[in-house]
Amino acid sequence: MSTTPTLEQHLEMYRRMIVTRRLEERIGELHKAGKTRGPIHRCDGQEAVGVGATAALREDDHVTSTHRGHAHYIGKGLDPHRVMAEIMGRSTGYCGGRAGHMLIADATQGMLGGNAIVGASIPAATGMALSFQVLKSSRIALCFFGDGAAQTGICHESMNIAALWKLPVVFMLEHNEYGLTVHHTAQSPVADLSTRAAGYGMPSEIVDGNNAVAVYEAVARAAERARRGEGPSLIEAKTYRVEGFSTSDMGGYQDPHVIAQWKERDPILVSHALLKDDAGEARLQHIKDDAIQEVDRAIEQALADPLPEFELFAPSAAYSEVK
Amino acid sequence: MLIDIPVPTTGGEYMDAVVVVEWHVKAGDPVTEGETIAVVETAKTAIEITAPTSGVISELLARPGEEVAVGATLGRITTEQSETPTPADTSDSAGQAETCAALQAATVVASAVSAPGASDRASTPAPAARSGGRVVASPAARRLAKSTGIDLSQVHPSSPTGRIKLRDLPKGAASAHPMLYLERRGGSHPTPLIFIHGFGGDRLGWAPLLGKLGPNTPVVLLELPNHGLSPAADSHSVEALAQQVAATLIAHGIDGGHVVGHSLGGAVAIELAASGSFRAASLALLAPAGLGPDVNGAFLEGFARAQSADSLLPWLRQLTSDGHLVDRSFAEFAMEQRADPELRKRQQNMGRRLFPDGTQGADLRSTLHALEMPVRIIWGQDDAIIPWRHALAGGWKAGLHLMPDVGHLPHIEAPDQVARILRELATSTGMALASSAVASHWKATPT
Amino acid sequence: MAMMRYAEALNAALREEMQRDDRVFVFGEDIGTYGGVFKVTKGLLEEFGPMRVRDTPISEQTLTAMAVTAAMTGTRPVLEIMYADFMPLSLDALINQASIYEYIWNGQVQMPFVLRTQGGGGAGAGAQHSKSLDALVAHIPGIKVVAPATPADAKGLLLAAIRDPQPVVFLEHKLLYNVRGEVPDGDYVVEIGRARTAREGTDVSIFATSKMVVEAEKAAELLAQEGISAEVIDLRTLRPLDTEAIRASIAKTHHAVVVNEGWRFCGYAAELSATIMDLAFDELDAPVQRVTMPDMPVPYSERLEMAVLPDAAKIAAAARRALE
Repeated sequence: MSTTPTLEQHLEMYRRMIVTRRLEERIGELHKAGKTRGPIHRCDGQEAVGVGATAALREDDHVTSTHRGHAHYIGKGLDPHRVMAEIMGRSTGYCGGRAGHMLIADATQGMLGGNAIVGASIPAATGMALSFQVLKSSRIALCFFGDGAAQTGICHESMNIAALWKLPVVFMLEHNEYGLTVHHTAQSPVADLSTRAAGYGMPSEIVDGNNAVAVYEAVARAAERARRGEGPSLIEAKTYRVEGFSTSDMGGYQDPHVIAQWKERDPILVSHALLKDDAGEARLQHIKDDAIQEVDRAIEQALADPLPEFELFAPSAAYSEVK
Repeated sequence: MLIDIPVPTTGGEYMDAVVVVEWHVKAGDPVTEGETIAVVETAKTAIEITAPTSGVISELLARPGEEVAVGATLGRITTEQSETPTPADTSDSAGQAETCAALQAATVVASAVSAPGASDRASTPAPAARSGGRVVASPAARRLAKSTGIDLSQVHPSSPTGRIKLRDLPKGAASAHPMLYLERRGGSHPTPLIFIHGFGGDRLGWAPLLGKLGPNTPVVLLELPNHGLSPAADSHSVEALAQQVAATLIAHGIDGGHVVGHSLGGAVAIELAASGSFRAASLALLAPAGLGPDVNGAFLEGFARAQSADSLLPWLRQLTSDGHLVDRSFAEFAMEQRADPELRKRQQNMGRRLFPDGTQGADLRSTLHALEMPVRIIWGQDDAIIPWRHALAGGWKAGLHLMPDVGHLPHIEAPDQVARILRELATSTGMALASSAVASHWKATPT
Repeated sequence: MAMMRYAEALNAALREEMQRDDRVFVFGEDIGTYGGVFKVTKGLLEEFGPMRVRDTPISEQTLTAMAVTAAMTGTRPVLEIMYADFMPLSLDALINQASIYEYIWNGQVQMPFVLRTQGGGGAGAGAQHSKSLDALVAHIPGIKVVAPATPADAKGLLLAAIRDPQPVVFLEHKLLYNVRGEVPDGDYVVEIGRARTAREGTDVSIFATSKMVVEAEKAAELLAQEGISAEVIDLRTLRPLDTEAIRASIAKTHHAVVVNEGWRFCGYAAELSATIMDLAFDELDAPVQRVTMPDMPVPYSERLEMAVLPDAAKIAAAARRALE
């Protein structure tokens, strides 16, 4: 894999970011119409991190994600219809409606998977990397986690072990400035969390999280290092969450000026600007229209899909008691 | 002078009432001061009541099972007599022997307050602890007692906890005849109507008929082994079934009644009436088995092996005239009662034993002819399971009611008519029955 | 057959399975160079090398989470958590990760890992190093929990646990490591979920696991001298339960005593009592007797510690209570 994306690859990232954005917006509408269930964590404004990072991976690499994983899912190649179906609790969803939006997994594509326990993606990816090392495989694990998760004990423990054992893992810190409703300055005395990497003996870099190409390149470099047996890296992607913590977020704690500023640097706009000379407006518009249609069709399909039937599942039940 | 026998308090225990367990004396009996005359029970243990004075029991104010407040009076002793007669002096030796025996059976208090002199008595086990009127017994003991017809309130627990355990039940209880399921309705009566269902049926099939008879008619509903709630049993003959029915009735204190039997239950009824142990006041036979060799073997097999409402329905339709009354929900209800595959298997085996190769295994004609109580045979002319013509073998004593447009279930297809016949039968033997009309609380769909 | 210590039997199981299956690796604190604080992993580093036998930093939470996802991606990890008292650190990985994935992800993954730990009191190790937290792990759906009481079962169950496609928590006992017993040669595997009748009897059934089996057997001896015939059932697996063995024993004796070294309230013995009620209520001739630790910390001083731990005398007393 080259460390810089080709035009086609960038166009595909552009397309996937639009797919993700459309998904988020439609979910927002459905939520307002009372059609969704449980809180949903949109990633509007952060798409370049998930899409850009996964674009730099091999197909058989593994990814662990967070509760805000739609860009990671789409980036890794998951089908929007089955993602949406899972979010709507349908039997056609990736997990048969059992997981919901925060816990989606597709083992065939190495997406293992969304995780609603903050920080759990970190030891999860580290464990996968351990497995790859023991099996002498050239696969790597890419871990998405946020600035909130960076404070957990398991983040510290995982990075320590990963660096100690030179595990083939890339830690992608998606810094969107907020841990739930609390600004990162109230969560850590350190503004650039990647400085901690030095404490673990691991290389790090800071990238513009709203520039898919920059993200791609950083991950590609880190993946190469990991595959060469040089161990983990920490990439801090600076970005911003424009739509609140979740659909149940009452809001009011994010400064509208700041939101407006970040919207000017919307990752889709950034890629558009970078692509329009080489690809042309028409092609970009075409890609956008197709992407939107694809998502709309996927949602329509998902809404029409059946709900699953309940079955008792007891792999290690003490005994089967329900009569 | 009358002296009260008070209900004592037991020191240190919160208690405001006791339950009288038993009296060791009756009115007119002489007593000595300090002698145990009664046993009462608190929430935790039994206490002896001793005579506060010598004299003669004047009256008892509480009966066994009754609750009496602490401080209230259990009875009275009159002290007008100057001497206490000794047991040997009185002429009522049987009564005295009883009192002696009762005194010897006096209880010893397990752990709470004991009355003076009580500790000198020879100890015999306390009567069972009660908890809110219910005898305390282990689940295993309870189950064994129920299946062998033992009355737990007559069993003495040997455990200091007061709980009846397996070891307290009479030896050989486990090997006795398992009791059949029995239900009583409409109050007790010396000769209730006793209903015995047929093969594949259960107590629920009598619902329409019971509705016509009304809730005040004293009835007893039995279930044959391998049916309904009755236990499994390897019964291979009508005679064996009749023995089990008789044993169950007697264990419940029912030694006589008007027996009503349907189909196989009719054959059982004939045997029951002929047996010495039960007094049948009359016999009503609804399409009874036992009067001829013919039986619809295909029906018996098909019915017994059906595993769903779909495969049961066609067979059920054969039961009534023209498949009348048998619809899908009837079949579903019936299948629900037969949901247990173990039960169905046992019924299949039972059917094969009693009706081998689609033939009736029992010939009860001469048995029927020998009976002396009033007998009525009731048969539907459209019966597709057992031909009504078998009734003609009933003998001259049995009256025949032949019903047109009725199949094998006269009690379900024509409950009014059957109720009327039963009433006639009962009243002809001197039993008064209330007239019907009160709708039963049962579901309308019978099995 | 060979006579060996419980710890040696575990060592043999690990060695044989690591030879047989390249995917198996062991990790944990002090298990490599030192061979484990109880010497269960002795010699494995020399034989299999540092890729497959790893000393770790003190990071139970992360190590357990790593075992979950390593198992999900093609290897068979055997993680040692040095003391059961540290298992609370493992619980997020067990409860929020391992327990849910097979179901939530609709059968896409399995997690064949083993978490080995040891617990139990009687060694003067104090309140934070003497607990039996069986109930905490047995409560979790999707996890199997085993507790061998003999060297033979230690080997047989560990082989079964490593080969099991599901996560298995393997509970050892610090006072059993030096117990000697006969261990069959060769590939000796004991089926998970199958109890063992340690001693046959007719009057009362005593159900126990781990070191409590040893105590129960001593109690049975005491009871035998009083003419009471006690049956001792070594459950061997805490979850899933061998319900048929439990039911059959109670149908025979009608009396049950359940022994567990954990706390009483909401403890493992409570589950067993409820299960017995579900399975054999009508066979019971007395309430089920529980013999457990009282609901308090394990004290240090010997006299205090011995007072709280369940032992043969307490088990025998419970049996007598059931029978009275």
